[in-house]
Amino acid sequence: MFKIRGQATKLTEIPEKLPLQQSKFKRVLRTVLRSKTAVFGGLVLGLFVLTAILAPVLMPHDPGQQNLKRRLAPPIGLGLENASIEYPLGNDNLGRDILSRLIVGSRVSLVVGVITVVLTTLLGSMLGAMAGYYRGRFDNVVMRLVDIWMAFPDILLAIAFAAALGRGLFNLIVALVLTNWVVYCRVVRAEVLVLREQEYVLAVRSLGGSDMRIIMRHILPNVLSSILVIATLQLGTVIVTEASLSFLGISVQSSVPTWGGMLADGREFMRQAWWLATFPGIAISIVVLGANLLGDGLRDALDPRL
Amino acid sequence: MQYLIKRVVLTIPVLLGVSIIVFSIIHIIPGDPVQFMFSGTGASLEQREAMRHSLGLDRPLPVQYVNYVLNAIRGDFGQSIHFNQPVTELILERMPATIEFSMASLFIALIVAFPAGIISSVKRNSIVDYMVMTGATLGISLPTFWVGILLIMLVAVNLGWLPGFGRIGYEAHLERVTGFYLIDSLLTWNIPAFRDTVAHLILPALSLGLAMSTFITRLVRSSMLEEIGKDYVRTARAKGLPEWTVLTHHVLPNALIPIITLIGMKIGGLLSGAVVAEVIFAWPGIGRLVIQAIYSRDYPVVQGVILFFALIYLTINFVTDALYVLIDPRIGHV
Repeated sequence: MFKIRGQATKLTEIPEKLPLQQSKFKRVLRTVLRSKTAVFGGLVLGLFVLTAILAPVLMPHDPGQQNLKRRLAPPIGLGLENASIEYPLGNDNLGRDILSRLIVGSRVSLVVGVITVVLTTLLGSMLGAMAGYYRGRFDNVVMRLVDIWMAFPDILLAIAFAAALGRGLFNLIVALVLTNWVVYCRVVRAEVLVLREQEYVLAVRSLGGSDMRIIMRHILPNVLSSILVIATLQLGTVIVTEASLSFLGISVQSSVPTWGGMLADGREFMRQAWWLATFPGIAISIVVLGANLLGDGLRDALDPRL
Repeated sequence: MQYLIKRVVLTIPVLLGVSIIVFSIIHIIPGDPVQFMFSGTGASLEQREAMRHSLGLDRPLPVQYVNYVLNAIRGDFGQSIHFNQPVTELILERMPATIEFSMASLFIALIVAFPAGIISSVKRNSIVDYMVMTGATLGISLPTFWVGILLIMLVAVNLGWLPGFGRIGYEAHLERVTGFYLIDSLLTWNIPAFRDTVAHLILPALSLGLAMSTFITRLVRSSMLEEIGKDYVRTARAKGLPEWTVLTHHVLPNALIPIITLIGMKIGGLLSGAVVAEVIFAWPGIGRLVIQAIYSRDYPVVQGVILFFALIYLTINFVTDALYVLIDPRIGHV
């Protein structure tokens, strides 16, 4: 036992690996937490996730329940006739509760957003990492594929795939994954091209480490920060694209409430009831803003070059 | 020149890939595409077979693909099922509307973004800078189609200041010359039609232009900031040049290089943004055409429009690269 600045520490208590990892994590966390906007973004996203998970408990009414007496009833707080505290955001053209539909609509946005981002991250990063690592013919093929994909305007490709595959959650996610993987692929490839020449990678290779092991254990962890930043920012983009597709009526079945679908319904009644198209738009904007702010904060903390 | 030739050669495999993807759209439809197109229409077996034959679906896949590419090279994108008209004709008819819309949006984006980005970079960390950057962050999060709906609700429906739908009013009679209404109305000196066209353009262009301006503002700001910190700017100031001259004659021309490239790359995004915006504003352009085609399962039109957009996108990228070489000749020698 010996004392350092009044603290008693046993030599055997010092862990071998933890301090380094912890310090990086702590450093990043500290930087993110220092940024008020990033914290705000994180809180917004957290709230969005909680709302989606707890939707069945949170929604005051059945989102499909029609109350024709309350058709196009206004929200409270504006002094308008027929407003009711029971339906704080008013009712839609079929008298359904807008708040409940907004709450349940967050589920499609969350499920589509998260699953798409996870799958595109896996697909794009793996392809990018392998292209950057192996270079040569494989890299050429992947990069030409990226060039081809980049030639299509984003939403048009998603629209085409979604329309060809047909409606439904699964098809929607497939269409969005097929559209979005390129972003990850390009960034990861560029980083891996530099990393593969680093001495520590050469060292692992000379020790007989397999390519897969080098990519998975030694290269990808070093690209993780960039991937995380893109994934956060992409979450917003995917949610907007999903909303656009729902708005156009080529997303999930029309019986499932979605924010984009609510906007499309509201558009028909904008002369009589502005709130129908206003609230879903606000919901989409807030969630996307949250993802963008958190993404910006993470970028500043993890990778200022991006 | 060599660089540009190399660039053209490199585009060929991309074009082939693009054509394969567009070609396969009709083939990824689960089940029989003809059955899918005609579902609920009560079409007879003969009609279905005739459609299968006219789409070439009764031939082997490689033959279908080669025919598709050969026809596309000749500018033949097939026949629309819904409109019963050649797809190329449909696209060319509607192209001026989409280009006019996109250009008006780009114009609005530039006149908003350049002053905002420049002021923000010159007055870095001031209240103006914070306001501009907050506006840009908020703006980037607003879905374009929602902004469009809000503009229609506020300006067109409630205030009645501007029209919210269509390209020109029914009462305005305009002779079609080029298909670009702004140009046509000036060529025929039809000032009421010109005014009406501008009025119809404002809201759609604002909704798309403001979205794009958020991105360009950030870009102008960061590009200007990077240049302002360089030695030649200090030298220019040390010579005693007025700050305005330093900015407009030294900083801005250098800052423009990355801005032009990225704006060029974003024009493709502008076109895709136009797809949804055209639906909202009932704008009779290619975007609305493709959505109508999707609703009516008119796959030759869907394929044709997507291929057309991809070709435009590749052309814009090429032109941007060529401009880049003109602005900075060092690039061509790399």
